[in-house]
Amino acid sequence: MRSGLLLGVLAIMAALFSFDKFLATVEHNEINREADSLRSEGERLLATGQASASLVPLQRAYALVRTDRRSELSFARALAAAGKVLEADARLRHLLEIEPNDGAANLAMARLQVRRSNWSDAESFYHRAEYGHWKDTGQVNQVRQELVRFLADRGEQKALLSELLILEDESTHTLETQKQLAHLFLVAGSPARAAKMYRTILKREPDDTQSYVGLADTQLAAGNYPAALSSLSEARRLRPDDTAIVRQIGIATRLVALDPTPRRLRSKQKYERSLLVLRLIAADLAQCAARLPADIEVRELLALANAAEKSPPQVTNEMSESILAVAQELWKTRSEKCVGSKPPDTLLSLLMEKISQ
Amino acid sequence: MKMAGRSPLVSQMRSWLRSGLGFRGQTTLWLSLIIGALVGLVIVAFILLTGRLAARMYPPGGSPWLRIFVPTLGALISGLLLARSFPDARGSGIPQTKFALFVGEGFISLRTVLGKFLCCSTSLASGIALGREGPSVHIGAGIASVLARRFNLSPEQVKAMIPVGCSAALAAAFNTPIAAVLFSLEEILGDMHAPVLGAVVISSATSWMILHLILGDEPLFHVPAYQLRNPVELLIYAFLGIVGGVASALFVKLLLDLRLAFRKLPRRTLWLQPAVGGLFVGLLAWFAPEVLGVGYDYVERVLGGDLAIRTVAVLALLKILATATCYSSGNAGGIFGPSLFIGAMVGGTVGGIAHQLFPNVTAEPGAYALIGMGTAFAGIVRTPLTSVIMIFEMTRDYSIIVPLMISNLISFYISYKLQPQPIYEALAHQDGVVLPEGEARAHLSRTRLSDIVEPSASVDGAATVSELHAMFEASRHRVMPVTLQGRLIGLLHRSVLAAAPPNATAADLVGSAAPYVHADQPLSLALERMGEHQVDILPVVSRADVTQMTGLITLSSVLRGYRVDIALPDSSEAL
Repeated sequence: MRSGLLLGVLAIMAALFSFDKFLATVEHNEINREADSLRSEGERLLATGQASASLVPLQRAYALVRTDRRSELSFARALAAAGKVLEADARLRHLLEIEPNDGAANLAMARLQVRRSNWSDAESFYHRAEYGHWKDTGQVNQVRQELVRFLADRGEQKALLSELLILEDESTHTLETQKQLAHLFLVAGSPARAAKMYRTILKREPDDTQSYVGLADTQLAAGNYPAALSSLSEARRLRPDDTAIVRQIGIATRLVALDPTPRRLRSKQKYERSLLVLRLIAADLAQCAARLPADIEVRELLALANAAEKSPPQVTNEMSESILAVAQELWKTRSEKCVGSKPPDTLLSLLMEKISQ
Repeated sequence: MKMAGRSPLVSQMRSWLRSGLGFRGQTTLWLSLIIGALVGLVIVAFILLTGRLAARMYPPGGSPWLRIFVPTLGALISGLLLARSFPDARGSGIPQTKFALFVGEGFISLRTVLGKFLCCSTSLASGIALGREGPSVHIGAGIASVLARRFNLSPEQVKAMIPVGCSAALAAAFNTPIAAVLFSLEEILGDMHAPVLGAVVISSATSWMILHLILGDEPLFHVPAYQLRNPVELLIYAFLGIVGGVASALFVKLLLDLRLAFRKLPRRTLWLQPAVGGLFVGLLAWFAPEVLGVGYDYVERVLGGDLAIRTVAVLALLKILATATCYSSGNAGGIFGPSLFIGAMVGGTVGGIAHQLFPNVTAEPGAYALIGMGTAFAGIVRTPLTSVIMIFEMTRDYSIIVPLMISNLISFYISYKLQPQPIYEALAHQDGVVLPEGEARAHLSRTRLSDIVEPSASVDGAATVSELHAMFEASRHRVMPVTLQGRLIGLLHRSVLAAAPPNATAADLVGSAAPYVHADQPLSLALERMGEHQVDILPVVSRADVTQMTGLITLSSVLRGYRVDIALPDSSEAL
């Protein structure tokens, strides 16, 4: 009697289990479908710039399937885009707790940290995104490019150069990305690599004006002013009406005329050029110092510059070197004292960089 | 050869089955497991069915007319079913379960279980503002009762299986196995040291495992990590306890008063009364759809801080009105879920205001909503320990315990002061049932009057004064129970008889408030009552009907119960 009853109960339990499983599957599927539809709608709104409107469907999608990381990530992105930075931060941290190597979550977190001006955190999350898990390897490249732009904006030359070297190894580069890369090498303080890339481009595209201008920039940064003038002349030949090129030619021409470092110069020429450089820098420092409270160090340096102007009976290379040393001292002081005032003149910057080398 | 080839496990199983699952203790263990699993499966089906059906009733972008039409129709259908086919399936299920445990020898029929499932599925799916946890407890207790009876357990064992079914049901319904065990002991049994503790734990754990097997590890609510920002916040939590206690007492009073009003309506309208609740909630839902159904979606939104303070405050008020009306009009459904909803909204309101006033020292409103759920549960259901553990299990966050305890105890105290009688006892009283109170229940495990009760004996109400004189002369007792047409009408004192007119009958001479005891009460209570009323005999009456005399307790039998050997007149001498 009891055995029969027990078997009956077990049979009922088996039937109920199957029924429950069926109901759970139906519910699971329906909820997932609804969540997918809401997420798609939210992502569409987010992509069209309607961040606030996208919050409602994305939040609902996330509430329906809490385990769906895609929904949570989209919701976090929408929160960030709608200016709810702290909530977005909390959601992304939750995602990263579950999967610390999630590339997309790390990238979203990096962008959020950029918005919050947490530069060091942003860089760290960019790196995690770069080496995180991605379904498509092409996305890694995009992350690296975004990181490179971030580092360039922040002036992080060393980190930028190491990222650029990885990017350079990528096999597929369009003409446009090659030019961008070359320009970024220049920003990263590696004009030689930049010049090499521009030359490679020019071999393939000899009439590319932009590449000539870029090459000229690398040559100016390297202190090879005559070569820069030559490249700019080529650019002008290709695009004679471009005023920017004309202005660059003007700078290059002046640099060629001012540069006191070429070996072929005679002592007198070198002395005159050195003196001219000193005058320019002294004038620049005097202009800046006029806006600052009285500074004894600046006053003494300007007096020193005046004293150096008195022409000696006979000029030597050593005298020119002394004048350039004073000029460097003035330039250094200008960099320290005139931080908040007008930026230094491009011409003088380029020239002093070369002299300091 | 055949025997040798059979696996030892199969042989053992067959042996168990043949012997009726071994000896008695083993039967209880097996039955607890079976009850846990079966109740878990039924409750999961109940949750999924009500949830899915409700989702289909109110598709996104549906007509607002549906919000009036569907709950009214649902309540009308379940009202008809309740009135015609399943009268015991009305209401929450907790008082009915306690009634079965303390009055009905643990009997809950299969028909009631099926009726509860069907009527609650209909009303909850249609958006009636009641919860599914109370009915789940009734269904769980019913399944336990049916199984225990089918397995030929003794009446005492059948009663012992009721809390086993309750804990299994609550573990599956709330996804809180520890709170389910506590609730069964604290509220259903009223004894935290009940001998069935082991079986209750086993069934709760089994049911919880079934829930996880089918639905996975999804908590009832997803809550953000709790954090106490500043110790000053404890003051705000204390204030929340006060507000929660007042709101709980208001809700209970409103529900009880409305229920009394509905009970006064003609009995022939019984089938129609639930529809009044359905129509009322439908009208509220025309303006605020959030009041429909259990409303856990909105609880989660408040916990996440996604609703405006004004909305949250309005929802607290509307839910109190909707739930009180739906319940009192006789719809099938419980008040656990609505308690959590009301608490979350009250907490969200207090938290929202506090956060606006003191943003630097207070947490987000969601944290207060979470604590608010506990305060309402403690204030309405009056199980402070269960409510603390329940919220703790929901959040799985230890740091919530202290503020939760502070708020819950304050809410419990305030609610107790404003409405001394707990809701389930008050509901039973309205039904004419006297459930044992907490203090009395604590003595149940000790010697009870049922152990010493003597056969019922009384004086007929029609007996004349001269007959009564003769009876008292033959007896050394001071009083005699008097019955009229088999019903106890009071006690007659020897002193009253002396001054009685000669043409009076026993019925004319009895006092208005006669003391009595119930068979499940302790000996000490009988002694106290005898001393209080200066009598040496007490009638033993049924809990379901206090005029139904089931036995007699004399002073000498009580003393014998305490093993005091003093010669006193026994009951046979008395009457």
